[in-house]
Order: sequence, then structure tokens, then C-alpha cells
Amino acid sequence: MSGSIIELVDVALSGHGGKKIFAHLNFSLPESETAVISGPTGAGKTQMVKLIIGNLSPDAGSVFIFGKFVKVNKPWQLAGIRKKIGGVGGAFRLISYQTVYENLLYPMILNKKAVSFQKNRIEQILSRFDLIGRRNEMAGNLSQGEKIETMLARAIIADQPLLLIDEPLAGVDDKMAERIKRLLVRLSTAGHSMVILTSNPDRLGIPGSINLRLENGGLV
Amino acid sequence: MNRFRFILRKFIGNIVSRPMAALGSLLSLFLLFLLFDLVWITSMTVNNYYDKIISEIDIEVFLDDAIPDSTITIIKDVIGSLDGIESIDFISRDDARRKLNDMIGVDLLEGFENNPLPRSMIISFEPDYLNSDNLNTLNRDLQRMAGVTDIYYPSRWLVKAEYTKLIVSEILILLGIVIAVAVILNTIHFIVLSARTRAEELVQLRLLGAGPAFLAVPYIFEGVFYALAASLGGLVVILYGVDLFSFRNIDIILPPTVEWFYFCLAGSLIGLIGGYLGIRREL
Repeated sequence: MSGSIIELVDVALSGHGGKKIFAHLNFSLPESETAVISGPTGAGKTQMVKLIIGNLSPDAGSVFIFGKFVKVNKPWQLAGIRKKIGGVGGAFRLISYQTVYENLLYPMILNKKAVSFQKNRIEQILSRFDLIGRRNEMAGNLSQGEKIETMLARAIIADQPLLLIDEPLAGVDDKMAERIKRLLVRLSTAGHSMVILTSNPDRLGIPGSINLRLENGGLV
Repeated sequence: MNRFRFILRKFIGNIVSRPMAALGSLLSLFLLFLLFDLVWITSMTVNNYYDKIISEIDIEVFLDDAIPDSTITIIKDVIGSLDGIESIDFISRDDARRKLNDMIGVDLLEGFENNPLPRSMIISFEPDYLNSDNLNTLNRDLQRMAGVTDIYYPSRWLVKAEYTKLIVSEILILLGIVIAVAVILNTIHFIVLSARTRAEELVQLRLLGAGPAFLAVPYIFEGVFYALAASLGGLVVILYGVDLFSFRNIDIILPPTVEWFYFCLAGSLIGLIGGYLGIRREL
């Protein structure tokens, strides 16, 4: 499994009531690549994220992240994998009753970044994402666009090698969508490994990305 | 912020952010510990009272009129060689008459030509030896001795006193178990509530890669804090209360400092178990 950051091999997954979500899902994300996976609502985009982060166990097949076989019932192993993943949207949210600064602090602490480095890094990222004025704002008070920007900032703040981005443009106006898109393009160009899941691929074009579509329980 | 400081901050934040809930948790555990303290002190006081009374128990051995004084010396030596004997006092007929006079106030034997009271020995025991089993064994040994006619000691009373002591001890143990379980269940309940109010944070921390220990430690600290503070609170109230209420005839016996220390330690351990069980489902 070397060379690939994510490797889904012949994954099958059923939802509630035995409804088939994936039949033979195969997916591989090479390092420093961006994959944009599209599909209509209910196609299984969020389930795919859940499989990658170990929130769901496949009925059949295997999930490998950073070359490690993901075992849902091994919380210590999952913690080790999740530390390396920066998540945006879907299951990944900001903690609404904590400030932007505190939300950005978590990945730094969990990834054991030096205390002296943390403050500078947060200031640097806040400037980069144009959020410096919002550092002490409660995350719950941010607009949807600002929330996505903050989550993107959180996803890269501790140099996490993989970014999982679920519906980054959901609930944002065109102006904000354009801004987020620019950020994603910048991250992709900078060599971040990213999986972006969207139901509206036309709105989100990332140059040089692998474009796939979830259809009939598999990727095409 | 390093991980330890973060965990410490979370632990303090859990308590400070919900002051009324924290106070409620603390008070309910405090009352449980106080109840245990009261029964514990009652048990110690009852035991002390029992020990005091039992230390006054002795056996009176009545001797045959026919045996000479030389045989009495031999009997005294034989009894003295038995386990648990502290002292043996020989009571001559004259001593017995004097004692009777002292007790009643008149000489009832004035009309008697010869003093009819028997000679006897009063046997006192070492404190550790005084229990009904040992005294019954000694009674049987003494009855087999030639020259001994009768033996008296308050055997029935002793059995009742021992039974009372046993019941108090059993109540203490039972209550201790019930209170330990109640403290654990209460702590679980408080920690589950505390975790639910922070469910959003726990979910996100888990997704960001926090391991079970990182997530659990602030809540385990919280459980330990409640139980330790409640047990210390109980101790302070008891120490203060004993000074306020003094009893004329009964000395209230407090456990020694080292036992209080173990008590608080056990309280903390119970809090730790409760804290862990409370957060376990959220990990």
C-alpha cells in the first residue's frame, strides 16, 4: 500500500435497512494529489469520509490510511490516524462554544507541537486565512463561510498530511464560495493531499485534481 | 499549551463552567461520606466502650474447703502458667468476709462460729485475651483441676456484648459497601452529565485524534476531585462537630489520622472508578 495515502480496496457497505451504499468501491489517493469526488445527495460521500476516518466499518473489503489497515474498534490506532487528518465539513465541525483560537489550538496540542511554536503558528494561519480579527470570536458566532475557513485553517495548522473536505461550498454565497475555492486551489497547489467531496462539482473546479463520481455503489 | 496543562484546564473548566451542578454533586457525595463517618465513629466509640467494660471482667475461682494452703499455691502456679493471665489474687476467707461487709455494710456472719465463705482466686486477663471463646476454654481447663469447686464469670453478658460489637461492625461494613456503590453510581451520573454537556467537544476531539486517555483524564480527575473533596468535607465537619457536642459519659473516639488518610485515599479511588466508568462510554 505504499505511495498511497488512502487506499480503499473492494469496499462494500450497507446502510440502514440493508440498503447497499457501496458494492465494490476502490479508491486510491497518491501523496500530494487532490481528488474531487462528486455525487448526488445520498450517493455515499459522507459514508466514504466516515470509512476513511474509522467511524464506519465496511461490510467487506479493506481501508488503508497512511499504509495502516483501519480498525474501527482500535481507538488508539484511530487516534494516531486521525491526528494526521485535517477535516472540514460533514462530521468535522468547530466547537461552537469555544473561540477560533481555541479551536485552532487542538490539533497543535494533539500533534504535540512545541508550546513556543503554537502561538506563532496560530497567528500565522489566522493572517493567512484573513481571520485575525476573529481570533477571539466564539466559533458559533461565525458565518458559514468563516466556519469553513476556520476549519480549513484547523485542517492544516499542524501540518496534517491529509485533508478531508466534505461539501466545502454548502450554505455559502457565491462570493464566499469563490474565496473558499481560491483557498482550496492554493492548498492543492501547495502539495496538500486532499479529498474533496461535493454534490456540485461544477461550482468547484480544482485544476490538476483527480475527478471522480460516486455512482451505483462505486467510483467512476 | 502542553497536553498536561490542557487536561488540567479542561478538568477545572468542567467544574467551573457548571458551578451549581458541581456544588450539587459535591453535596450529595459529602452527605454520603458524612453518613459513613458517623457510623464509623459510632462503631469506634462502641468498640472503645466495649473494650473498657470488658477489661474489667475477671474470673473468680472458688476452692475446695478441704485442700491445704500448699495445694492452693500449686493451683495458683498452674493457673499462672496458662496463656493470657495477667494477675491472680488469692482471697482468703477473712478477705471474703471483709469484702462482703464492705458491700453490704453489716457483718452478716456475726452469728457464725466459723467463717463459711470459701477461699477463692480472682484471675485478671491481658486485654487481648478477653473474649468468650478464650474464657470458655479457660473455664473448662479450670473445672478439670482438683481443688476447684466453682467458677464464676459473666459469660452470658460477654456473649451479648460480643454480639453487639459484631453487629455494629457488620453494619459498618455493609454501610461502607452501600456507600461505596452509591458514591460510584453518583460519580458515574455526574460524569455522564458533565460529558453530555461537552458532547460536541468530545466528538470533535475524537475526530481530531484525541486518544481515550486524553479524553478521559479530565473527567477522571473530576470524579477524584468530587470524591476527595466530599470525603475531606465529611472529615472537617466531624472534627468540628465533635468539638461542639460533648457527651458526659461517653468519650467519642475518632479514628487515628492514618485511618482518615486511608479513608480519603479510598474515597479518591472510588471517585476515580466512578469517573472512569462515567466517561468510558464516551471514549
